[in-house]
Amino acid sequence: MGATNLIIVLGLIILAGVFLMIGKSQTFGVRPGMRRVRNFVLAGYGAVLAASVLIVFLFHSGGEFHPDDYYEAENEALLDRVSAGNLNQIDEKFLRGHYTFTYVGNELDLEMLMNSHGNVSLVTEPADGNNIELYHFSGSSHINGYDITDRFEPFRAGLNELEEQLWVSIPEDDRISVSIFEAVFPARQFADGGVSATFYSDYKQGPHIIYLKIPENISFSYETYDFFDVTEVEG
Amino acid sequence: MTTAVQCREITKTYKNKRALNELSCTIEKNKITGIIGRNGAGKTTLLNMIAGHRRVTDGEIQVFGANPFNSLTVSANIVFINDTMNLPNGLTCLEILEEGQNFYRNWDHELAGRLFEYFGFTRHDIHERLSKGKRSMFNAIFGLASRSPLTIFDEPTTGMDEAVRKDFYRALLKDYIAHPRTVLLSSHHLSEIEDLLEDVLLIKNGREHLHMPVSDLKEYAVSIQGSERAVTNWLGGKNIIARRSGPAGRLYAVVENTIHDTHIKEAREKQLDLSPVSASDVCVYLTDERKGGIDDVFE
Amino acid sequence: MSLNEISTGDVIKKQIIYKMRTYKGAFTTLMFVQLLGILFSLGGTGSFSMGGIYTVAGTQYSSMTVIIFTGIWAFVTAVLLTTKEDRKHDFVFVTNRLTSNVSNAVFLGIISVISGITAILSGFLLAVILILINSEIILHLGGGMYGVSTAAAGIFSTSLYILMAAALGYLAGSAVQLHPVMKVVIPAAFFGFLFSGWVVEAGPLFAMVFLEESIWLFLVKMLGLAALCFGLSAWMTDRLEVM
Repeated sequence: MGATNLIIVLGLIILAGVFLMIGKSQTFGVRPGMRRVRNFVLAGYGAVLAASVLIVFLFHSGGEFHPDDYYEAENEALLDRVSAGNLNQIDEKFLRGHYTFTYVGNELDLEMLMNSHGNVSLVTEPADGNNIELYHFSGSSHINGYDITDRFEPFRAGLNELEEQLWVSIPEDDRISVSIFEAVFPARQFADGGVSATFYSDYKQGPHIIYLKIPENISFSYETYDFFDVTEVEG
Repeated sequence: MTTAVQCREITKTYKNKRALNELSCTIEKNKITGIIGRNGAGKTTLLNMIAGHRRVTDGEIQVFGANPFNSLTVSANIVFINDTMNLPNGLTCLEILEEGQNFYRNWDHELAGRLFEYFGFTRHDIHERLSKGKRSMFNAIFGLASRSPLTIFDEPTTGMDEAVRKDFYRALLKDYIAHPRTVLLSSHHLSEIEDLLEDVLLIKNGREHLHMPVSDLKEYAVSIQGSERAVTNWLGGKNIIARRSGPAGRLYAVVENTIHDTHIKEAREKQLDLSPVSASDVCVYLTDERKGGIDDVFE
Repeated sequence: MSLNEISTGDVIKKQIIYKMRTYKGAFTTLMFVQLLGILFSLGGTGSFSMGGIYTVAGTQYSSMTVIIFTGIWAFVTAVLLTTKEDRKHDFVFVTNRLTSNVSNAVFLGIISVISGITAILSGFLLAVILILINSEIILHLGGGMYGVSTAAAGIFSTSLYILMAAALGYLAGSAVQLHPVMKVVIPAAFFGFLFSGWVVEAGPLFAMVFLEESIWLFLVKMLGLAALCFGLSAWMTDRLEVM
């Protein structure tokens, strides 16, 4: 709020100047010639405002909006399907990354290179052949009901054959920048949540799921504390 | 009802100065009355109270039978023109006249337009940027066009040049004859308006000093001039208004006009110079507070 | 010449029309003030950062600055209406103190609605500018609780806030007209209130009034308060002389 205060103070100073110059005398734009200019400028301002409203309402979709429980239901369905191994039933929008590795060793460690834990679930499924497949699903996430799921960059993953490691790390671009705009913020106090909703932004991040198809002959290990939930799907 | 304004012992005090002191007067309808007095005599204060801009400290004032302070009826029937009048500068002069038409029922917009043109105003003029004389003229047009049953002009000609002044007085007279109404006209020099006036209300030190028709005022006093001794003798028992020592033992005096033929005869015999005093000079003498005059300062 | 009778309502109506004409310049100022507000808003009115596996960094933009500026404009405009000069202008035409005050209040009401509308609409102008310079914007518009009816609610409440600012300005201006010492007393009281602990203690009271969640109760509270301010001003200035 420091910046806001600064803006207000600066604004007050400039406003005071504006009023001293043109507020009191009222002579600004009184001469008929100037008045034509003034009317023109005022009409122009009105037209620009009206055009802005049209542009915003007609031509700009402000991102998809859904209520909170919509996202919760979507995420539950996602978890259900992933845990059951029904990958073909999952909407493509949840699939962030997909890697395939060929591995000939017997042992493999899963190394999570994350800066925080707890929001990632692991689902493993035994597979045939030598190919390891890694999927990164990201659940629905939203800010104040606006879907930001497609903003997440996929996890990065790689195979270190020398050290018998499969590593997963957060993407380099792990920061999501959003701009939140409220053209009509005074109306918020009448909306759901009332005053408590007025000055806060609500951010709900969906679950991240790593789905691993791993050959049966590989002895696979991982640290459980890296994960919120671990599920094994029957082959 | 023939009374436009009635004041009963009105007093107005500002902080510690007394501007009006138990002034009483009755101004009749459909007359032009001149409010005459020296600077600071209380003319403007009186007019401000008649217009309802100021409150009386004590006493009672009635305009068209109502207290003018906060009376909408009084305001609708009064126009008050003064030399410090402030008009909205968000409007051009022409638009101010249009607003006047909206507010005043008797407003004559055709007259306003003709005067506006005659005195050389244009539709681009803004009141604030006019010269002092032109501003006064514009205010005067506003006052004339409003045709208010009570039209008050407080020093309306400030800054006007001679020709414009004469035009204004002529316009006022013509319009008054065509549409008689109550007019109050204040000035500190009576000479230029005395032909216009019917009545004169002379104010001195916040009180009414004289209230009479101009014709009476013109015969109110006579002056006498001659050797000091002879004049002093002649003056015995008369009501002296002013007295000035002239050069070389001569004396000049103004007395109330209560003299008879015998006095005139006496004056002639003693070679005294007896002559009438103009209404405006009477006012000057009547309101003179100093004994003697400016000449005495230098003696 | 017979006397003209004129009704109070008629005079008030004429004065409002007159004021709308003569104070057109105020709308030029309004436009400047709102454009200035938009300029200041381009930097965002707030920001947040939320962690997790991914960090979400957000910049919040709103029309708050524009609305605050508009409120200040309304306050100053109301103060200007109470000045000696402007009161004198009413007395050039037909008026008494009551009609002058009532027409001022109605006039301020009208400009509050006009400026409330433009304040909210200028928020959309801000949105368009942000869309042009920032591709990553998430707009709270066009869906959910931010539809046309929300915009209408926004205009509604903003107009009432602005009216409140105008009413307070009118009250402050009238108090100054009553006695010049108020020029010092009012700002001193205001800042004293702001910097002493009182403002915090009075917080719940303000919240109760200004953050009312029912739209109709809000209308009643705001109009009631504004009427109180205007009524108090009218009462204070009813004996005031015009000089």
